[in-house]
Amino acid sequence: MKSFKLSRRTVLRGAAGAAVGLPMLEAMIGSRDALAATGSLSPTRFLLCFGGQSLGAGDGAGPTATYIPNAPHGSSNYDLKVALAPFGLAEFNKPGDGSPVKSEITVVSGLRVPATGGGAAPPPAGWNGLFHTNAHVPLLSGMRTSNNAMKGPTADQVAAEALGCSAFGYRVQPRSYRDPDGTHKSRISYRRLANGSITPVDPIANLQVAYDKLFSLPGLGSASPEELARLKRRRSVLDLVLPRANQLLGQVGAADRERLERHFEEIRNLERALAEQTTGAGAACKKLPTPREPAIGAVYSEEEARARLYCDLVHMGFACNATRVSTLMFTFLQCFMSASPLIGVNTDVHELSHNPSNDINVAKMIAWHLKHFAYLVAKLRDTPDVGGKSMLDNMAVVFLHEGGFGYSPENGGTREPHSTEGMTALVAGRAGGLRPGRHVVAGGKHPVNVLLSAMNAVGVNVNQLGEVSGVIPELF
Amino acid sequence: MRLLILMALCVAAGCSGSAQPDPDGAGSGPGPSDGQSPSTGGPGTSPDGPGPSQELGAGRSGPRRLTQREYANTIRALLGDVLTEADVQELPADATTPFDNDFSTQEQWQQVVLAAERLAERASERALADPQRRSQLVGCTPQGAADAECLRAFIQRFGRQALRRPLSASELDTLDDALQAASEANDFHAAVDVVIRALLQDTEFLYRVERGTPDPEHPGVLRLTDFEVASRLAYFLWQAPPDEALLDQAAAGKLRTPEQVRAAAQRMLSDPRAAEAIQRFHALWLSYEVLPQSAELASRLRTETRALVQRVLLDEQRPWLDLFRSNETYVDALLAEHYGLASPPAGTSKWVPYGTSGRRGILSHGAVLSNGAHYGDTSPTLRGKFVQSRLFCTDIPKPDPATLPPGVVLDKPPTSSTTNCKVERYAAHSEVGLCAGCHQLMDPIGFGLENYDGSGRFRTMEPKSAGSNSDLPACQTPIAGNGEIPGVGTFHGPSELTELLLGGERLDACAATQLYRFAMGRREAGQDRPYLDRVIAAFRGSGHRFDELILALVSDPAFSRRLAQ
Repeated sequence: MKSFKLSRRTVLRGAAGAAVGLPMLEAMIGSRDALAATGSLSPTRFLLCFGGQSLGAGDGAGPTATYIPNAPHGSSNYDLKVALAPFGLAEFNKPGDGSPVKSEITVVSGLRVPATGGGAAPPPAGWNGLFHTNAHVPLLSGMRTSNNAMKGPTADQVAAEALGCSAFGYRVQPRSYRDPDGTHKSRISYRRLANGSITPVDPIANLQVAYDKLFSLPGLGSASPEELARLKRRRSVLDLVLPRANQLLGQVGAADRERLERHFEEIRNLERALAEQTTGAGAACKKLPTPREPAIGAVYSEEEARARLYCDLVHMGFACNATRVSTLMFTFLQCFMSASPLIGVNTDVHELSHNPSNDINVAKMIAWHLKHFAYLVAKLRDTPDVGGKSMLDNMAVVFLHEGGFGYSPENGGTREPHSTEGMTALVAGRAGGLRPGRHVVAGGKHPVNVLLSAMNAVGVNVNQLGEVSGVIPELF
Repeated sequence: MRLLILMALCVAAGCSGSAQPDPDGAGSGPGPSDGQSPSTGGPGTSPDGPGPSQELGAGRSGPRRLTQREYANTIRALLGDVLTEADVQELPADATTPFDNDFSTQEQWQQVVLAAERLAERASERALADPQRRSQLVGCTPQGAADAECLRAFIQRFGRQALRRPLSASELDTLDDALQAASEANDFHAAVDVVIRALLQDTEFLYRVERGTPDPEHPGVLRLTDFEVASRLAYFLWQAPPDEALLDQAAAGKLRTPEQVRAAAQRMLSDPRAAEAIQRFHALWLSYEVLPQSAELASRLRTETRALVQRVLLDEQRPWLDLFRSNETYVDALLAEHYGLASPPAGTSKWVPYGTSGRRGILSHGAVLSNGAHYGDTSPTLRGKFVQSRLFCTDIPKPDPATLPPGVVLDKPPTSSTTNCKVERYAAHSEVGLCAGCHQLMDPIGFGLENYDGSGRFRTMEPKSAGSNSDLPACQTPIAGNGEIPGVGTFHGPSELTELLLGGERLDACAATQLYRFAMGRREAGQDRPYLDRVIAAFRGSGHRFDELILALVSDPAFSRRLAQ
């Protein structure tokens, strides 16, 4: 069911030109609370997390030694190797029964995105060419590529459209560091424009902006008179900005217009966010204080602290019913963040994967990502939702890694990190009958099959994303 | 002959040797790529040869979003020091390709709009908080909350600064609506706040939009308006908006002829903002604005290179090539020890002669030699690629994976099962024909700098790095440091590399090309060639004066024009 929306413009028109004062705004917020009390919400939610890393070091032993559970297909209580060790940490155990967070997370192994080497055309839902510039395209959209270009909308955008909300996207790593090629590696979300072209959706990578986007939405918690006055002023300003933007569009050439259209669209999104009342916030919704912004460094920008703060924000975005779809990109594709402050190895994350002696360090770096993922899953598990369920019970959460380990079409090697063989995904949540806490051996299924399973679980009734169709029944 | 063979190999491997964007570089994404001609056949094409438009060399343009640096400078010019560096970092980080203003990489929209709204609110609030600053900013004394006249005067003045052009009557009328906020709040300055914030979120504030008007002499070409020329000048020369004087010149139609633009630019070059922009151009070009070393060392390395740019280009206005010829460098005790040079007294920095150290000029600086650090060591390939792409403007594409020999990993230095010595390991690059084509243009250059580590320290032995074979001991052979620029000559160390560069015609042409990219916010394309060639010729004709290079670039008729869409 779509969120209840109350257009400010409608209200303004209804008020016969009279200025809308504070009492009117307060009344609007009151009406939202009344709607929430009816319990007519459909709180399924979709979250996609991403780490820009493969699963093993080149020519190393690969993830069977450091990641993939020995436990057979279908078994619960799977074993935790180095990469998955955070799933056993006591700090993430469920209060009360003390069960580890791994009982909320299914490990899907044996996934595969097809790829061709030697200049052959890319297979359906697959890629050829360079790994870091192509492999993510079928991984996220199910579409084949060979020229670095995204060819279809990504799962989060398809889900957001179906669920009638806009997806909230965040990125922990604020900059690409030494990669001049960082632009297309900085995002995991793409959507289709009205003219059919595919356009990137940039994640927010600044905590001040991200916190403000969520917590300055009208109607979150009880607004003070000062907050209501601020909201009103922001609307007055945007009322002047928007018509001017529209005028400009008519005055520039076609190519310029295309670039500016995206800018205007975001202005309209902002205006809409400030104008409309979202549906009632859950009981767990509360405004978090805006954190201090960690300093941006030459090779590391306190991603450890940032990751935790973005997890809190993703959690609260759902708790406050600000959205039903989020993405959380921890690291860039081909991540050049320093691994030194996180696992004590003096190199960057990308270089770890190309050093044969570094299997264990690759796993530790994956574990860094998954520690934060476990924190977020535990937090969602421990947050009550409506009807006696937890928020996690009503969710489908997926974690994808940039690559797997195995055959690389770049060089024909078979123990390579530039590979989309032997991929894994992590799935949490119980929406739509998902059964978490097991090891599922997918037997060559596409990671998009995992995404389709999660999308269907939250009520996005599509059988196909890009060129991939079908769910993985064993997840349910 | 040797060069021809190399070039043939190079072509076979996809090394075109021309200044096309790296396929794995900024032009590779879904955004607009360089070299796209917006119209078929090019402007003014005639069957009899190039028409007047082609000879002009006017190029592609597009809306250019203010970079973080430009935004910070623009807010400062409008409202004073109201935002901090951390505030401005709420805008998306700019990609550095190597310049931070390549508009084909500006594919962020959401964070721009959200940050611009927050920053506008904060900047306005801080600017209006101090009554003295506020009354200076408003410029008139309001007679009550609803003083329409005072508000309109403010809108007119502030709007011209913010949008870098005068506002039309209908634009003024629209912004007058802000008075409603004043009457509701019973505070005139509420309207001022609304106006400031609306203008700081305006598309034409955040983006430089060049509408232009059709140029009758050059079909398919638009002549920029006088105010658009002023903005091009100011953001190129100052990374900041036009000041009142420049806007006045635009309003008076005094930015039309090459002489007028040159005169305006000459005034602007004497401003400290131009000095800072020249410093920044070099720092971005040679990638030392952000350095991977410790903060203590990084700041000294940047200071050293800044001092050289300051002395050669700004204080003494010597030929630009003297950046490469300098026989001394500016160090403190710590940096002198780092380089093994004579140390100035503790607590001071001094120019110290290089003597017979084998160092000379900017290529000996740690700030520049830190390019190509990889796997905890230097990469001869990446260092060679740096010289080719930054100093020669020859971009070496990443290999086509379809032609890669089995077992080669692109992102990893070559390893060997028998030795950790780099010369032997990297020999693999030249043993396979398809690799050799490109690698022979890179690796031999890098090997000539091997005696200098990733921070510019002299060394005689290779370290055992993360890219080495961990089963073997470190290389025991002293570093030979023999380098070669294929087709040009051999060298040993930065001093001799500099000699080879100075003897050729590629370094100065590439410097002009890099400055062109910085000025235009994009790479050059085929249609830009005539303009670029005129600029290179002027640079040479001036005896390589950097200020003359800048003046030639901005006073050329093509600077004030763009292709129609």
